[in-house]
Amino acid sequence: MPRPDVSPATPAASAEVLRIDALEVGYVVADGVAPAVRGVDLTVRSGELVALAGESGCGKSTIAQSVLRILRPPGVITGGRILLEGEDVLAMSPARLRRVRWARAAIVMQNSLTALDPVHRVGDQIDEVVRAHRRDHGGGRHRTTGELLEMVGIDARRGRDYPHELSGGMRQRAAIAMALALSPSLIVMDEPTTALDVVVQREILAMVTALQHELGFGVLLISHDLPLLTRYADRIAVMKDGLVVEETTPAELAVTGGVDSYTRRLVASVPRPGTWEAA
Amino acid sequence: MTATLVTVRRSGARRRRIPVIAIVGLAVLAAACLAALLAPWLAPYPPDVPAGAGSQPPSLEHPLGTTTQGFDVLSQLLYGARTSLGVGLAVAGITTVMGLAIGVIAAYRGGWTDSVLSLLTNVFLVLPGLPLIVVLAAFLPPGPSTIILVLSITGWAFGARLFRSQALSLRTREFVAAAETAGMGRLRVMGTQIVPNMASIIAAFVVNQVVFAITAEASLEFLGLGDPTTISWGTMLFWAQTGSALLLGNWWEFVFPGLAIALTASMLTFVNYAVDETSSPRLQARELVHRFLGTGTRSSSLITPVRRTDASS
Repeated sequence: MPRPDVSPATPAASAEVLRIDALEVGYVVADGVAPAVRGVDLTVRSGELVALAGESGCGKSTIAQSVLRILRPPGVITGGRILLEGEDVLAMSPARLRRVRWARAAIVMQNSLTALDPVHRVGDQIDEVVRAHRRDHGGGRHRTTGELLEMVGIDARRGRDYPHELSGGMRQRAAIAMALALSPSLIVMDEPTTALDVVVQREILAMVTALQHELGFGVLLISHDLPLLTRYADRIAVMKDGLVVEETTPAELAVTGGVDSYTRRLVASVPRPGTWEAA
Repeated sequence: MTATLVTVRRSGARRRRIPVIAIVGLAVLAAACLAALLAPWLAPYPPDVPAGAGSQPPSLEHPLGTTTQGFDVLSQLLYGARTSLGVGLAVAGITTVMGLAIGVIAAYRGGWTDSVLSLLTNVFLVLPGLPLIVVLAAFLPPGPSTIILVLSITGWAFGARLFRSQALSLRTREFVAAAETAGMGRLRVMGTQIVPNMASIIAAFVVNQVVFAITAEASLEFLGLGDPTTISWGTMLFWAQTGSALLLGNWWEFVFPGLAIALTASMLTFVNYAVDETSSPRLQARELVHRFLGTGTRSSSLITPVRRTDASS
């Protein structure tokens, strides 16, 4: 391989780790393709947390899964480009894609209970990811499973537990530890905290942003939880019907309340204790 | 976007596609059953009376030749289909239903029901098959129904084991819990939630059982436990072997009954593929994508395909 599979997390703050150009993704149905993503542009720089917000069915998870091309049938990418550190994901061979997955871009799913194998210990599963990629990146040094767990705030000894023995929040933390195992430059998080309570959600996102400062990876965060995003995201892209209708920053959003009508509705629907009128 | 999606779905949902392969399989099997039923009218000669000189190659007079003893091969093939297909389908049907009932009930009810049914299944599994078949057949009056009974008694246990393990994993799934939460009775949950999810494994078992029964029937006849004059595809093969058809070069004597068995098994397998595909919406989605991309069957690894519609790239 001409280039190393795992680039060290360089603090070159402006480097684009993910660039999505005019991406179109659809689902094949009996007589055609139902478009789900209709020309979306998006970039994530290293150390940046970009949020993709929008209602259910707007195409945000479809984008998340397209980045690593793990969208299942009948999903098909019908146009555009996805550049991961400058390399086109859509042009990669299956072998290349396999090496790139997890090593340069990892994903954290919404429900890690289904993503974690119930018959293996959590620590062993984290190890397994490293072992699966060992051949590809020679003698590169890796954090131990214990270090990874400590990084996400789990006692290293809990690595000997089985997934069902961990709480929902700990399982998500373990999933993030697993995502960090190969020091990827991008982590895609598809509603990583939706199944958790508000306090744990904030703890986990605070931890992610702290790790970003330390390690410099970029995050593409999919969520429909606007208050959470305004607090932790560097930029927010609001999607509706397969299009990004507004790209903004939390600071802008606080001032404008959203330029697009849909964004305004989204902002307006955030409940504020005490200001909520009986509808 | 919403509008196109709805119309596309609406027109697509109506057309439930039956794969060509299934139509071929079912048509050939139906034709074989029909030929078996109409054997007395279709067969050019009586199957159990020598119809001419022995060891004649296929000719106008004997389209598939004659056996060493001078029987007409085509007539034997048609009459043999009655026994072979009858025994094969009956045994497959009985063992599948028994195996399903016992296996699924054991898995779903659990507790002592499972203990008792599993014990029963295990007892029948450890019983050595052939000796049991011999003993049973010796005590019962000879005839095809005895053979069906004997093969069913020895054949269901493996199915029960198979279906039990599958049902055990299915019953912990969330949709089963959801059905129970919705107040569905046990039988309804088993019938509408568990069994349909086992369709492809059931179909595979049926194919296996038909082939097993057709060959086991022949073995039984020739252990002297059935009626040795019975004509079936299995007995035809046996007579071909004892009459040294291979040495004499009378290929038509063993090729045609062999082909008949192989064809039945292949057609059942075709139907089996179709069951796999139509019973799994996931596989159907894969099939849709293949047709959209215009590619053949590709690897099932999780890589979203790319199809460029724009000219720029």
